[in-house]
Amino acid sequence: MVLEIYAYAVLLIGVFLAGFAGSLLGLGGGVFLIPLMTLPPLSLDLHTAIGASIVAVVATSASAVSRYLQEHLTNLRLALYLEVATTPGAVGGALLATTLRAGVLSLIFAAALGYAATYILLHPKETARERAQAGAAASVASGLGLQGVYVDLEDGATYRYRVRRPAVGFAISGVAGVASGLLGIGGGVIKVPAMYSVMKVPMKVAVATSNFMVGVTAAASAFIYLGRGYIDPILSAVVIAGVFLGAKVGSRVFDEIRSRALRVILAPILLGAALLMVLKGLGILPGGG
Amino acid sequence: MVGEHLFWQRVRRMARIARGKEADVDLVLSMMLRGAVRGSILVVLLGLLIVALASPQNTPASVDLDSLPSGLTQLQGPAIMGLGILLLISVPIASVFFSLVLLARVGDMTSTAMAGLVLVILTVSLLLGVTA
Repeated sequence: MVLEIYAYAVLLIGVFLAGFAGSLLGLGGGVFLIPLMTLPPLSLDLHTAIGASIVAVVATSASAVSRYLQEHLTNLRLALYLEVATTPGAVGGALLATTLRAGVLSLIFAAALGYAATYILLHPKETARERAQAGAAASVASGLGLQGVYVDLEDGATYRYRVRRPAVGFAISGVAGVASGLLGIGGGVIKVPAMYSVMKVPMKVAVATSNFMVGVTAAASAFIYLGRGYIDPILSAVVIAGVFLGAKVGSRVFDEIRSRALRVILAPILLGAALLMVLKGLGILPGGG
Repeated sequence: MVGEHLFWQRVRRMARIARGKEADVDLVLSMMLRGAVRGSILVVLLGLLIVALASPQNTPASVDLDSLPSGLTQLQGPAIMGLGILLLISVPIASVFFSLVLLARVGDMTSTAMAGLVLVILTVSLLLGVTA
């Protein structure tokens, strides 16, 4: 698919901002990328947009993971345990997506955007006291060795934690995988709250572990999209370059940006995009149906 | 109370013992991921540059795995972009594979088995994609 030069310029600026916002909020950026590509003025085919988004999500995730691994924040055992559920979910979701009509996918995506907007707005900020208490009264997650220790660079303290309700987390991870494969998003908006709220994993560990998982999950569905001819090389190249650059800049200015202000700006944008996706799904906007 | 104190004492000791080895796993994976992502993105951008300098209008709308080898031998932009994309989406698979090897080396067989299971599922998705 070859677009006009102006469309590539719009796309590049948009995906740069998506990567920038995604890195500040600990997300892969897929929830911003799909509306950007499928709504006017670009109005690209939804399946092609999902294909480009999923490849970009792999790039941003792998890049972020290398930093988190260096800081020893990623709980590799927990990631592998949850990926046993997430990866088949992603493969199933991707296979399902290739059979669904764009209109139906748009409506499902609108619901996911509504959820993402609520999550971004209500995203909790963990206090040092909560970090210290994480897992203090928890039961050991069987013999899987999922507990961990990490040093928080914010206050320099070492925190140990256990993982609670591993079975519930496993089930939610499966759902996150289906959402990722179906909608071309990383699924971080589902995995992070599941690990933090349900499994009582400290927020920073949850974000780092989710990032590792997001890449693996997205890769599983990316192969399906690649094989079905939904990965446009030029579109993917522009999206990868823009998102990667945006995420790099975002991670550098992370401490200087007030994330609360960013959330207040982004949540209504996502809700607006959800409304437009509903209109598109119902065939009122072009490209749906 | 005493039981919990002993438990955490044991966890701390295990963490100290394991940290040296786990730090290696984390750092090796970190370096591998950074290099692989940068390398594959460079390949994608090289392909994009060749397409931009040649004829963007003739670029196929999707990555065609069948014509990839012949396109690469002729240094065609779309084929180079396709290779870069293929390398990029293979990075997480490589990270799971290296996790498996590194975890097996430190003797964590439960995690090694989980990594093996994830690797099998990823291979199935790869085969499903290639044979589609």
